[in-house]
Amino acid sequence: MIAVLVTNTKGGCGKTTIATNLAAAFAASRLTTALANVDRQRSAMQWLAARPSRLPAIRGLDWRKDIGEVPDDVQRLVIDAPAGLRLRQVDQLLTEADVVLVPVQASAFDVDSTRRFLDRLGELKPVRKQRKGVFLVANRVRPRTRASRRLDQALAELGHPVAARLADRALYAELAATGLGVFDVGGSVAVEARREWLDLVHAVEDSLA
Amino acid sequence: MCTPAALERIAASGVLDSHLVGEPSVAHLVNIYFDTDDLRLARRRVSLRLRRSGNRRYLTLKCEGGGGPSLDRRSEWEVEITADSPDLAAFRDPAVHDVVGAVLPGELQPRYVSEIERRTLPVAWIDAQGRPGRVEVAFDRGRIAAGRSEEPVAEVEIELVGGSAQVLYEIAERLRAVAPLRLGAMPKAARGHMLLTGEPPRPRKAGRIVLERAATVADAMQTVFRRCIAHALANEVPARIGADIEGVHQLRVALRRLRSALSLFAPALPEAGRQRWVDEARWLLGCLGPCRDLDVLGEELLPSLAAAAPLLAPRLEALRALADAERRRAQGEVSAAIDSQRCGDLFLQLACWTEQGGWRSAATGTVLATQQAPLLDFAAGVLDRQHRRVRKRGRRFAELDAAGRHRLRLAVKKLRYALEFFADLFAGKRVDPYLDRLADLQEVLGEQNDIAVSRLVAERLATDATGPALPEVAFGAGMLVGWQSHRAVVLEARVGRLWEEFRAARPFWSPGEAAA
Repeated sequence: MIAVLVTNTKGGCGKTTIATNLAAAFAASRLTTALANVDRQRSAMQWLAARPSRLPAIRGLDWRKDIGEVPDDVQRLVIDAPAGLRLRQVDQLLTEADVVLVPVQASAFDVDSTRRFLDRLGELKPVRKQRKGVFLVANRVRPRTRASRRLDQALAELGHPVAARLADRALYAELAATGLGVFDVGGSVAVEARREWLDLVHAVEDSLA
Repeated sequence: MCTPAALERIAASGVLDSHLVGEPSVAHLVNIYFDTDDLRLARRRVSLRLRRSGNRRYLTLKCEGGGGPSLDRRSEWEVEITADSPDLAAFRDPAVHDVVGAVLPGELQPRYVSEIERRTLPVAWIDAQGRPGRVEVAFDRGRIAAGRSEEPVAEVEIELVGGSAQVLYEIAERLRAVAPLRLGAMPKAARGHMLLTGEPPRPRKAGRIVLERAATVADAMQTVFRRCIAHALANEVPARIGADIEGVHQLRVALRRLRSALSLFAPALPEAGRQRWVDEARWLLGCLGPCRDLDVLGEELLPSLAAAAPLLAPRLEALRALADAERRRAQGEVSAAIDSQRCGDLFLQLACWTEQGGWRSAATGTVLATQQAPLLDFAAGVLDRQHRRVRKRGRRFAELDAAGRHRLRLAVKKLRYALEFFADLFAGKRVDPYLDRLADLQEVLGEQNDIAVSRLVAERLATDATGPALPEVAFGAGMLVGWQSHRAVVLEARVGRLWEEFRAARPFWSPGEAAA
C-alpha cells in the first residue's frame, strides 16, 4: 500500500479538493482506494456520500477520533488532514504516510506560514531522515498573472519540488458537490485539468518507484 | 536467437523432417506493446502486450527483474479480451495494479509493435537414453517496429509438450550444428524499448540467490549456474554497446562468479565437464580485461585525479586522449568476442548442461555422492575451507609482498562469492558483522589492486606513445602513478587494521570449527 498525506496547517488552500481528486484518480486506475477523513468538517465524507455508485468505489475511513486500521487489500490510501492540526498529530499521521503533499494557494499564499510549516515538518523524524517525499502543490493558479509569477518565485525558494500546478477552475466546485474527480468526467473541459492532475499522480507514483 | 539467414538455413535444412508427427502450422502474430507517455511501465520493468492471433486477442503483463525459479511472486498475467484496447481492468487480480501503479484511462498508447510469422512444427524425438519426447519447434520470422525504426526478428523456440525434457537440448544442439544459434539475451519487449528510446538496456547486478535449506548440492548447483548465466546474458548487450562501463564490469562479475561456482562445487563436478567451462569463462574474461582496465582509468581514476588537482588537470589531456583511443579499440575486441560463435556456444551449451544436470553423466563415486548430499553440510564445509584459505594466505600479513597480497585478494574474493551463494542458508547475529568485515577488507584490497593495475596501464600507455604527444602522455602518466602511489600509502595504513578486524570476526556457519 502507498499512503499519501495531504496536509497544511493553514486552512482554505484546497486540501480536500486535492485529496478527493487524487483518490478518484487512483480509483479510476482500478487501484483499491481508501480516503481517510481526519477533518471534523467531514467535507471528504460528504464528497464520498455524493459519489455515484456506477463509479469505481472509494472506501471512506473515519479517522476523526483516532487513526484507525486500514483494510489489508487497500492499495492506495489518501489522508485528508484538517487545518489547525497540532504538530504531534501531524507526526502521528506522518508515520502512516509514504508521501506528503502540501497544497498552497496562489491568491492567499503566505510564504512565511508555509515555510514555518515546512520547517516544522522537516523536524519530524520520518521527513528529517528523508524517508518521506514532501511535495508542494500549487492550487487555484491563474496562469500568466502576477500572483502566479510571485507564487512560482516563492515556491522555488522553499526547497521542495512542486508536484503540480492546478489551475483555478469552476469545475472543482461542481465535482465537490457531486462526488466526482477530474478523471470521472469526460468532455473537453476536463482535458486540461486532467493533464495537470497527471503531473501530480506521476510525482506521487515516481517518488516511490 | 539468430540471424535471419541462419534461421533460413535451419528451416531449409530439413533436419527435423523425419521427426515430424503432423502438419506444420503457420500463425500470424501481431503484438502491440503499450506504455504511458513517460514510459512508466518500462521504468517499473513491466511490459504490457496485446497479442492478436487470428481473431482472438490476449492481454499479457510481464514483470522482469528479480526473476529466477526462487521468485514466489507471480510475474506474468494473461487474459483473453474482446476489444483492441489494453484495459487493465480485464485482469481480475488486484496484484496487477500493485505492479503497474496508477495508470489513468487514455494514458496507455501503443509504443512498439512486433509482427511475427510463426511456423510451428510438431516433433517427436527419442533422446540418447532411448526415452521419447514430444516438442513443438517454432520458427519466428518478422520484425519489431517503433515509429520509423525497425529491426528483424529471427528466433527458434522449442517447447516441451510431453516426455523427456532432455529432447529439448538434443534438438537445440542439432539445430545449432546447422547454423549459429544463441540464447536470446533480450526479450522482444526490451528490443522494442531500445528501438523506441535508442537507449541500450541497463547493466544488471547479480541479484540475490535464495537456496532451499533442504536442497541437495545438485539442486543448488543448478540454481547458481542458472543465475550466473542469466546475469551474464543480461549484460551481453550493455557490454557489447559499451555506453555504460558497468556493462563490461557486470559481465566480468558474472563470469567470475561462474568460475568461483565451478571451483566451489568442484567436489560435485566431473572434472572433464568442469574444466571446459572454466576454460571458456577464462577466455571471455581475457577478452574483457583490457577494456575494463581502461574503463577504470578513463572513467574513474583520471576524473578523480583531475578533480583533486584542478590546476594540473589540462596536463592529463594527452593521456586521456590516448586512453580513449585504446579504449575504443578494446571495446571493439569486447564486441567481437561477444558476437562470436564461441561466446554464443558458451552460454547456449552451458545452459543446456545446467538444465539437463549435465554433471550427472560421468559422475561416479564420491562426486556422485556429493551431488546427492544435503546442501547445508556441503555449504558449511565450503565456507569453512574458504575461510581457512583466506586466513592462511594472510598469515604474516605485514610481510606479504605484492604477489602474496594478490593471492590473498583472490582468496577473499572467492570467499565473498561463496558467501553470496550460501550465506542466506544460515541465520544468526554473527552473519552481518562477518560479511561487513569481509566486504570492508575486500574493498581496500580491490582498491590496492586497481592502483597496481593502473600503474601498469599508465606505464604501458607512456611506453607505447610516439610522436609529439609523447612528453605530455609521459607527464600525465607520471602524475597518475605518483598520485596513485600516494593513495597506496594511505590505504596501506588502513588495510592492516581491516585485516585484524576480519581475523577477529567469528565464522557463523559452524561454531568453533573454523578457528584455524
